[in-house]
Amino acid sequence: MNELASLGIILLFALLAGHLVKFARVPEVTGYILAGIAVGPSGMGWLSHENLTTLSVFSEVALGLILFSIGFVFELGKLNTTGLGVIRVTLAEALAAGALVAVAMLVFGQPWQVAVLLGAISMETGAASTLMVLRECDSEGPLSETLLWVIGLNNILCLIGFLGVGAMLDLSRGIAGAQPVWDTIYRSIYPLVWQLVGSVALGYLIGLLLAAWASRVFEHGESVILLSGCVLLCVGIAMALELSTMIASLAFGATMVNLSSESKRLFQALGRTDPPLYAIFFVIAGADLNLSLLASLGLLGFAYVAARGAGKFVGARFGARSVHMPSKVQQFLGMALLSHAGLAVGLTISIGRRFPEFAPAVATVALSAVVIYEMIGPLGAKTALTRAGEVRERRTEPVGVLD
Amino acid sequence: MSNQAATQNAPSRRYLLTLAAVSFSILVIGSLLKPAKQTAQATVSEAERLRLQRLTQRRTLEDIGSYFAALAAERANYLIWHDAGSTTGIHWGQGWILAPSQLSETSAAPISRILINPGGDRQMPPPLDAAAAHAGEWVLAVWRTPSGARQSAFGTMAGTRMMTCGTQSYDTLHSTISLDGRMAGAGIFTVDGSLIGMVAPCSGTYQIFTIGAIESALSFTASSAGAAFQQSGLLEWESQEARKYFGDREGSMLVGEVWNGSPAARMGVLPGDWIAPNAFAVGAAPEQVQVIRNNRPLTLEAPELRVAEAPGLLLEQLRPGGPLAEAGLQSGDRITLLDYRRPSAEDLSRVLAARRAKPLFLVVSREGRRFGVLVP
Repeated sequence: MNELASLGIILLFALLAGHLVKFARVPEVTGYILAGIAVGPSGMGWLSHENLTTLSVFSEVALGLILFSIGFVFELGKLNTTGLGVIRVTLAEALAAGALVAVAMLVFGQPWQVAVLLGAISMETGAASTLMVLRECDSEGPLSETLLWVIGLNNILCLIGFLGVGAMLDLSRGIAGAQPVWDTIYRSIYPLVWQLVGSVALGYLIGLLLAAWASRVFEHGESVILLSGCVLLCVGIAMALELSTMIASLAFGATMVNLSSESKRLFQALGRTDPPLYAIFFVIAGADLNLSLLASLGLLGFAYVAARGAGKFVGARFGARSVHMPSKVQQFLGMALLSHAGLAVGLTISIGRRFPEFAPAVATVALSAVVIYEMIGPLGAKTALTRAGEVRERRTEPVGVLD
Repeated sequence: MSNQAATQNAPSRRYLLTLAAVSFSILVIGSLLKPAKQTAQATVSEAERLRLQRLTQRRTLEDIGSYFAALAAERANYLIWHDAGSTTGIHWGQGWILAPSQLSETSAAPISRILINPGGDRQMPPPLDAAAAHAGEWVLAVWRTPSGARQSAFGTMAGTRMMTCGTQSYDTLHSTISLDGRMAGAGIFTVDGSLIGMVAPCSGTYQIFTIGAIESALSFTASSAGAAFQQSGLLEWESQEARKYFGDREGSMLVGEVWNGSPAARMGVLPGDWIAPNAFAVGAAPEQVQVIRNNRPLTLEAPELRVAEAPGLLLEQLRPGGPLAEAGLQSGDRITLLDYRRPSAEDLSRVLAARRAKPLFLVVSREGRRFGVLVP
């Protein structure tokens, strides 16, 4: 099937699934993902692996948009009030999940390299699906606010953690090897510094461009053109320079919100335009899930799923308690942070390139866990938001979370 | 208006531009500092790596193929089509060639030396003992067709194994080259062109005989017993007990085995007969031979009529530890004679059960030969 027909199928199936899952009080995101599984290679096979490869550019752009939206939460003004506490919570939940998973993997007899790689991956919380649940629920309150901050910071932290672990493995492997030590250290540290500093620099430059231009653009259509142009530029340059598209988009959004008073208007313009792109993103994500991996999950996979879940719950609860967050946040934040996708899959793929000797073990466990967490993650987030009483009656017009 | 609000909230323009300049420099410098791709391996996908590996292997095979084609053309000079034997022969120095013996049960040795051009000056190929070659090494088979054209095939060595061909055991060489009748007499060469073996028949199949096996085949043919066997299809019964049983006769040969289809078998010589050692001398095609059978002289004549051999008693199963098994008989053997009479099953079981003063004499037929057995 050609790509346009695939796109049509994706959109219509997403809409259909979105309608269907409403009856089951399941988040729309889960519906999209289920639709993706149904039409993808694991299901009816209407979307082939080739289609998915071609369409992956849409995923990149949609992920850029999602991270851009999350970046909007990082207002410098709020950093002093909310930010520092949230950083501690994020550290607590991510490190607890990572540490528990690493220990569990060691207990189940994995080499330490596999254990720390899986630990670094397990720190991640799926930003896209969590954000979509927040949007769908149109939720407002301390939990929603904290959740937005945490998923933004979590992805940065996870990337740092992964790059740190990667540098450590490179060093442990390289120092024993024949190459000069300095060369090894340089090669190990460079990706860490480059992906963090370079991505932020790129995001800042694009954000500056958008902020300078935004004050001269007033029509809705023009705003959307400007915004999409900047997001595409950001994602495209990041890919070309081998930067992190996620951190660049996040920095782009953060720059934008801090430099331009037009940000809210732009954000609303975005909110009216992007749903098809998100639908495409999640259906593709669902189609990419390889259900046959579930069979290979095994004891190790269950240990990963259990250790990560426990780490998120316990870490979020104690982190939130230590900075005196409202009790609802302490209680439900962990449940809302279960989603596991996007970056986790990306990291697994990059492990295949950087550490091929550990890739099979890591990929089997991480990708099968992603299948499970993509199913229960959005559901957990929706349940957490509902039980915290932050879900608002949905309006007919979609509205940004910062409304 | 909004522009003003933005500038009021945000830091000064100069500060922002400085930050922009710093960011831009970071991107430029960072791109320049990027370490070179570590190794090609890291960026090559598994599928690509396998494709390259196959390509290399194909390249190697093509190289080996063209190398062996050249080697075959050159080594074929050592080979000749031997018309009389309808096989390939290998020059073995001074007008001799090595050729496989005809695939007949009477062949004492699978390979023999034949003089085709007395005093010829054709050299033999440099021989190499199989022990010097290793499993996995490339080997090349070269042979000739009836028109004299050259054919070749190559493969790798798998190892050596002892094979029993006729009465003797020989070292044979195993390779990935599949052998058939057209290749009888083919020379097997190593990559450096040394002769490591020759294809010859063995018990109905074709095998590669190592240089050591070729030499032992030639030396067996050269021995007197070997020569007699080659001529007549008779093997001497050397056991003292048998000589005593049949009444020791100085200067005569006691027949132990007669191979089917041999001149002796056609004349009707039986195991247990005494015969003159030179009865089937080289070049002689006797009309009749004198034997002493059962202490009576007997003249055997070349038959005008071939009588089908009686089937005899087929031993389907032998009781382990019983007298027949003790005497060396196996299931599948046929007992054709019991003390010079055609046996019936009743005779056999009765005679075996009875106490006896002297051993029973059986003629047993197995795999194309007949031999005598004394059952105590």
